[in-house]
Amino acid sequence: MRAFEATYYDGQTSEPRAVQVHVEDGRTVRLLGEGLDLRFAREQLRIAPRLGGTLRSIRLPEEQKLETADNDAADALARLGGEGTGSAWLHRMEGSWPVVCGALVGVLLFCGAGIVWGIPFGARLVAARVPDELAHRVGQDTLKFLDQMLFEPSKASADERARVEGCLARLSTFHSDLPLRIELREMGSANAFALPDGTLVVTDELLDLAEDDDELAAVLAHEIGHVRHRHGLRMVLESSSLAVVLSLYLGDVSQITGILAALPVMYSQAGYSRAHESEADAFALSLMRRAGIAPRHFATILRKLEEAAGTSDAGVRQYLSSHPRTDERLAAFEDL
Amino acid sequence: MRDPVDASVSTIEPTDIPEAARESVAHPFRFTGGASEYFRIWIVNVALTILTLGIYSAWAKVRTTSYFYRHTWLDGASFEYLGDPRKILKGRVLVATALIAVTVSEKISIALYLAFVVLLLLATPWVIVKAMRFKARNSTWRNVRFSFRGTTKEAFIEYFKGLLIAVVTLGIGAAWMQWNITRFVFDNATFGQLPMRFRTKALAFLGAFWRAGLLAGLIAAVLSFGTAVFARVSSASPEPMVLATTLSIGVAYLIMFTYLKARLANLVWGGVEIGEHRLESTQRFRDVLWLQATNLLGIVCTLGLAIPWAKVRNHRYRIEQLTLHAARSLVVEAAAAQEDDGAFGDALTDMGDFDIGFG
Repeated sequence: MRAFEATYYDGQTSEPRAVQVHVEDGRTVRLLGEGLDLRFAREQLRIAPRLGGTLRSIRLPEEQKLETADNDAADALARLGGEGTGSAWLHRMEGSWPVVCGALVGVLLFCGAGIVWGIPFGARLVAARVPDELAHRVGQDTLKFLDQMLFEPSKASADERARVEGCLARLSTFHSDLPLRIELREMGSANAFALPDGTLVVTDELLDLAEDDDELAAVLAHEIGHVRHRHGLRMVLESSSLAVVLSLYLGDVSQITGILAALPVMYSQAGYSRAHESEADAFALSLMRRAGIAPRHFATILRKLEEAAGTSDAGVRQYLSSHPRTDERLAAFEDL
Repeated sequence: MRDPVDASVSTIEPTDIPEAARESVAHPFRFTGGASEYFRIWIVNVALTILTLGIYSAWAKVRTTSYFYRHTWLDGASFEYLGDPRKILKGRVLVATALIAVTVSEKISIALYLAFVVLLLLATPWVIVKAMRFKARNSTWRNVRFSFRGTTKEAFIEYFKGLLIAVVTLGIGAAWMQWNITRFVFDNATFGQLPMRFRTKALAFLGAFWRAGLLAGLIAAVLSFGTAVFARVSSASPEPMVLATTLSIGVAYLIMFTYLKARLANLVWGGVEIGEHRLESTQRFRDVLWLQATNLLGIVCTLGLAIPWAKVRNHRYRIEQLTLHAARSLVVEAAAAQEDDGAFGDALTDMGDFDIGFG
């Protein structure tokens, strides 16, 4: 093989010395430079893997080193045998656009699948294993928090209270294993929430809006769906794992971008939450059928909620933004 | 031509400079890496890491670090990274095992879990020393290695001294703590037989933190005033308001930390002496802000595909603002090589983007 130019370091100082590298009879490597004539056996050389267009180092015994920009010559030397021949395929992969594009598509598909299916799947597995005591504690803490931030004590009469309890009783017989109970609150808009411990929060405004008992039961059926599928816990798990993965991944660039890029994730929750709403809708549909409640009541109360939202009622608007489009949801109930 | 972040950046008084350094030769650092070349290395790294369920990440780290070192030039020679991927893999496996043990212990007993957490806290100085040793030992320029000779005992004392002061002063001492750790790292580092020293004063660090805090307060005041006015004028619904508030927090955060980053980079690197040679860093706040903002925009718009481009840009800026003022010839005697110990500390600090010292 041909001779090539390199820089030699003796392992004692940082002084660079220009040398020519000759390979004699395929086994002996000879370095020739000003006042320098050194011989090494090929097996004594350790050639670094090729990396883009960067300088290549060839390590010699006793901390001596060669550096060369002539990567092809270093490759030819590596092919003569010995250490440092194993990773040429890496450089070939990085240099080939078809491989790079393939890797790109593969990585994008993997990340997309992870976000769309992987994280919800993992969250479902973990949520199912969360012990009931923990779910109970989370539910109680959440209610305490919401009481401080959002809710006022309910002004509903005893009759109203009895009406909701009655609606719940019609449905809960089909899911007697769930520790379902009702909490009434006032918050300025018609809404209902399901907490992980089985607490269903119903607002006074929803009681007013749902004149018909069947309509109220429809909303409760939907919320029981959230409890049954542990949507509250799953949502927390989904959004936090997405945020952690993203900020770890982007933290590679800098901490600042890592944390800032995690911000939009808070808004991306809507995607996961819509899937949960559809699941709760399907659950409500089947539960209402079993309880003998016509599915159209669900459609009616949903329309009413949307109308109330149209009058710029803040809370309901927020509620709807994380839900699927109402007409899509209605289609499932009205076609029956 | 350049105006550094602040004229007071150069904390080294003229009288502090050794006689020989006054007639110094300036050697600017150069970075020759490119986004297109690095993108290909990066995507192959990511793909192989996924395919091997994370095992390849150790090799990916070496390849990435080597790429950035190799494209960093000083006086016609480039840096080289010698980290052994097998050692890094071993370190990462250990870290992962420790993390799993901690997580599982929480389920078994709270006492065990707390014991683990306290143990981890106590181990921090040891981790720092290990990580610095690994990183320094495997960094070379012209075949001369850096090394770190600080001991775990010293690190332990400095770390808890800093922690105590930070707690007693209700966080104001955090700046001092960071300065103290940086000083500890550089004062115990050597390049070949040349000892390194850290000459920036603690007061300069304090000033940087204080100004960053002031800046953050100012921005928060302006933005919350703006948001309040906007809310009154438009009587808007809460969604755009929430969005506006989140955006404001993001912007304030970006500006404050960018300011701190630029200032600290200059204070850290500008304070480093290697034998009679001295480093200088001339990062400017507005340059770094522009860099961070455009990087963020690029990354978000390309769903992360611009990460290699952003990394190359960050690195190029950091490197090209560095200058070595060499007192005389740059020929350096190598020192007896330190024993190469494990990469546990390195693996642990990798997780937290813990970045002080070399590279």
